[in-house]
Amino acid sequence: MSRESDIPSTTGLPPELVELDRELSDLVLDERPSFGPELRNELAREWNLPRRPPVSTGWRRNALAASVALLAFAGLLVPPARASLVQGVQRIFETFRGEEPSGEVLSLVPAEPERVAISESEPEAVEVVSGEDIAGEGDAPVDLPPFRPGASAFPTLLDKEADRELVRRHYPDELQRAGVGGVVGLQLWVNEDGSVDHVQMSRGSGVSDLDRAALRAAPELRFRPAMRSGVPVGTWVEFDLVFEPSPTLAGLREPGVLETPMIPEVEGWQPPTTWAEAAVVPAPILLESQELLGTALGGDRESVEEDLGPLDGLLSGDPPSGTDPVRWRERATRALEGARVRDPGNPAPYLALARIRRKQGMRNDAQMLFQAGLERALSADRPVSPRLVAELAYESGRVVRENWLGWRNLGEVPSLALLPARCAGAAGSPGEVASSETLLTWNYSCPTALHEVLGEDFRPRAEGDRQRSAMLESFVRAVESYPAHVGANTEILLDLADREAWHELREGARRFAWASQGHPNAGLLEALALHRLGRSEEAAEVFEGALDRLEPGTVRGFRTVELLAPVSGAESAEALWRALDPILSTAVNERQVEHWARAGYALLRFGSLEADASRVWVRYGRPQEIRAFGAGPGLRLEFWDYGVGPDVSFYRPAASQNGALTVEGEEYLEDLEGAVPHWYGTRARPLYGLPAQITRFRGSRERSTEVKIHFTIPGEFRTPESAPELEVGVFLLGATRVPVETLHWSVAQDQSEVNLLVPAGPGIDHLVVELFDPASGMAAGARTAVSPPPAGLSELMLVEPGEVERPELGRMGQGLRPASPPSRLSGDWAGVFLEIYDLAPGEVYRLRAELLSDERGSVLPLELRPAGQKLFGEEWSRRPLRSGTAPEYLTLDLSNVGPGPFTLRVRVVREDGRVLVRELPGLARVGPETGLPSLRAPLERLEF
Amino acid sequence: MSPGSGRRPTLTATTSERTLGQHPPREGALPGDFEAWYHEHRSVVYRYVRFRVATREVAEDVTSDVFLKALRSFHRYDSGRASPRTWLLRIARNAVTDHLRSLRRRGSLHVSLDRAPDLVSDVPSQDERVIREERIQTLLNGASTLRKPDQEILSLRYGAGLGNHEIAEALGISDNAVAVRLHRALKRLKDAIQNSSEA
Repeated sequence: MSRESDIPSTTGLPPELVELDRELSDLVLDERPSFGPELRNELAREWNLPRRPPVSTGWRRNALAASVALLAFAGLLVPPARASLVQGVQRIFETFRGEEPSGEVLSLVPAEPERVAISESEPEAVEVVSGEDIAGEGDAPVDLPPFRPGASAFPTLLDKEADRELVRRHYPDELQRAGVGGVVGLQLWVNEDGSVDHVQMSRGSGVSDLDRAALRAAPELRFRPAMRSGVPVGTWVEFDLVFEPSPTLAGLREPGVLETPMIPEVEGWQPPTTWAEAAVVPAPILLESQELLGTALGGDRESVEEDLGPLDGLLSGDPPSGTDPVRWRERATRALEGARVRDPGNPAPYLALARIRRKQGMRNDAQMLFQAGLERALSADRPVSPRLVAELAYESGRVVRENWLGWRNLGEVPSLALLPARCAGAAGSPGEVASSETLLTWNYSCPTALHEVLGEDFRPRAEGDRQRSAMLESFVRAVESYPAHVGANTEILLDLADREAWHELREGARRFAWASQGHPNAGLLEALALHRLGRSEEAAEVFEGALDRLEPGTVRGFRTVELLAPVSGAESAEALWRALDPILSTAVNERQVEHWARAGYALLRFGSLEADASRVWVRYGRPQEIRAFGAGPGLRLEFWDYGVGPDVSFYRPAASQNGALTVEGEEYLEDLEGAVPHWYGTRARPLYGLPAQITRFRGSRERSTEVKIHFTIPGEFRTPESAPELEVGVFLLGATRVPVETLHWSVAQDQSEVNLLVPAGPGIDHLVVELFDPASGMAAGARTAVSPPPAGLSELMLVEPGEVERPELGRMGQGLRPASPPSRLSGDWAGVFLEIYDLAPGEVYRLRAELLSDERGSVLPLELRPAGQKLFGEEWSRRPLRSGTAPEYLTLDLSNVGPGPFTLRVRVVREDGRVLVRELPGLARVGPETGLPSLRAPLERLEF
Repeated sequence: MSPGSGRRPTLTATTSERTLGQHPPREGALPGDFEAWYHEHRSVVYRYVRFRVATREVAEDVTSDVFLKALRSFHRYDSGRASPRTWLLRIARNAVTDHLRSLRRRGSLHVSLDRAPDLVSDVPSQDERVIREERIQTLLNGASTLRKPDQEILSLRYGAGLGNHEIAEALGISDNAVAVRLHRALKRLKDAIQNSSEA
């Protein structure tokens, strides 16, 4: 049956699409004839139910009811079957700790084994009763199928490991940490192919996030299907999913709220100006662990040293030079195993063995050994120093980190999402998941298409979240044991920076600084936090302190701009920063502090400012997003997304922080050199747009300009938190955009308007006006070019309409009140002030004014009235009182002007026929404004 | 509501038939206008859904979900904000999205339409039937690879059979925007089909 007649024809299609349109219109998509009545009845039943279950369609409810009914009669008859299912499920999620780096505890057990229900799929064998029959009156259904235990097998989970991982993945971390667990009752239909359809929740846990997690996890469970007479059949399975908070994670606080009780209140404390390096480097650990290892080796110590070299090599896992490392590690392992047996409570052999395993790439073994060492170090038998405990916890955390790095930002894109039609010339990707090569091609050939694909189809893999938690747990333990631990503190603080938890980062960094007596890492991270919190002055001070304590070679990347521009030396850097200072009113150059902030993070995260990742990070800042893809065993392709254009691509080893630019990435960066603005993000203190009217007039001296600046103090500067006295700064900039002259005023917060007339001499190119609140650090500004001075006509200044006598007229504003804000045309009249220059004695000129509609492009002549006149007219002939400069104040009749955006244009026709035109764009015809004007959007970027 | 995911067990369809066969249909009233809406708009909803999901069974399941949801939130329907059809189609769009999401979670978003017989029109010979069947598969497979907004507009148009103005109402955009989007979606569908046949 064709539905052609149902569909209105699609008009206006190009001929090549008409056929397709017709074909699609011909598609028959009709229902089964009985579907409508069946569904209608289901709906009626649903509506008339006395008690409506929260979820389930009619079909499903029936099938479910059948399974429950079956249970009532047959469930107790099948103990062996029930036992097998129970056993199967119980064993799935055993307590699990330490074997895998992502160790935690999760269990999935049927809470009430008797409730496990199985029904069979053959329709004729199932009687249908409705849910309320069972629940309400207990009516026993009739005609139950005879149950044949011998002929059936029940579903069992196919891959317990995978399922354990699955449930683990869906268990929200924050609930685990808070120790929140629960039981979610589920009913699943297990298909004959073992997949799960129709997940229903029969009993909630009381925690909606857990319920959701269970519903998300369940469809991904995979079973061996139920068998009936050797044939796989679909069945209903009912069981409970138990979310048990992991003892290792429960109670683990985010390090942001880490409290280290042995550190006293640090408010007001400043780090020392020099850093007592020797006090912090954990050299004593080596002595302590050597001593411990010596004890463990006992009488063998001498022979071991003879065979394997000094104990410090054994403890670091490094063979002496000239030794075959494989053989050495074998012998070292034997010797350490012996020591472990001889002195089982001694942590040193575990530490040494763990390091050897780690060098061998056996991370799981290494982590177990570190943990075992840690347990021994913590036991009361043999007191060891907190530093050694911290070192064991830290190293254990580092091993977890290597695993976590393999998961960090990892995800995949289905091959099918990369439609060849969206990227001409790019080959498709074989397999289910797009290959890294294909993604790389798309990234640089069709960045926009790939951006869309990633936005829609990137499937992140969340497995790493738990490893990150486990890693942080180890680092937190290290810091709790020894608060000055540099590596552990730095890792925790970098994680806070990644999460943009700036307050916590600052607090944590200060604790670390206190404990370590001023480690430079603490300074770099505290300053980063301060800068991001908009406290750039304090940040600059802390940075300076930290840079003083860094190696001179490292400091170079901070003090110069070699990473940004092809200039070298600190002096040229200084000049560059001066020209880029975004807020001139502040005592600090926010742009330079931003550079330090990026360099500080990159140094700690990537190990060196020379690293490829650091070069990109310092130049472009933090990417909007980082995505990683598998690129072969142990390798990741990482895309750093900066929004515009292709992502910057790196290859990095899975277990490493640090990648190398791909060849394509390197070339792309070269293309960008000097071509892309160096972003000054809004991540620190923004400079808001000040709604000021700035009008340029010709100055009294030759080639000079006078700038009239008018603004109303915006509401944002008039809060109870604002300083009572605000600062107004006018900065006159030379050709290099460096201030040549600076003027400052103080204005009371409640002074509504600011009116300035600023002369700018010949050497001045630009003028910046800023309003600054010293209490909050908030700044707003406006800029204009001032050179060359206006010729023929001044700029137009919008003023309040009114009666002004001609002799009083002047740019100083006697009798004139600049309009505020400067872009609104409200009411029936507007005023405009301008000056006409270089008039000959007795010269007559003609004046006209018009509005250009920015929307329609039309021109609307305005009736106008010059100062001192009574009437309005479209054109006026004017003879000035004296030669030279003539001021004009015009009242414009707007009564016929509708709403919209406009440009005001004034034309002056001189006697010699020259036409001088001046425009004032950006005007809006709107109703009268109430309240104070608001700030404009921040000025976000500076061209580099 | 659990998403109507994947294939339904055969149990359900047959069960309902047995229900009808064994017990006389339980006549119960549906509230207010719902009865009329159901009869008026069920086919539109079903066809919209059918255009976007792989099989008739899934389409029936999702359609059931749609009307159950509608029934449960019937009291919240505000005639000032949308016509009944627009309201039902909005629920349907969400239900389809839920369904596709559940497939995506299971990694099987792009299911092949290996069971398309319910889409074959009345054509005389077996040969023609096979050719027609293949063509329909190609069309729907092609459509299923398009971006979601494209799929949506195509299914409102060729599934639900709405005109431009009705689509505009359902999507909350202008008539003109519908024409433009539809044109683009068709073009992309044509490209997708061509590419798949070349590949």
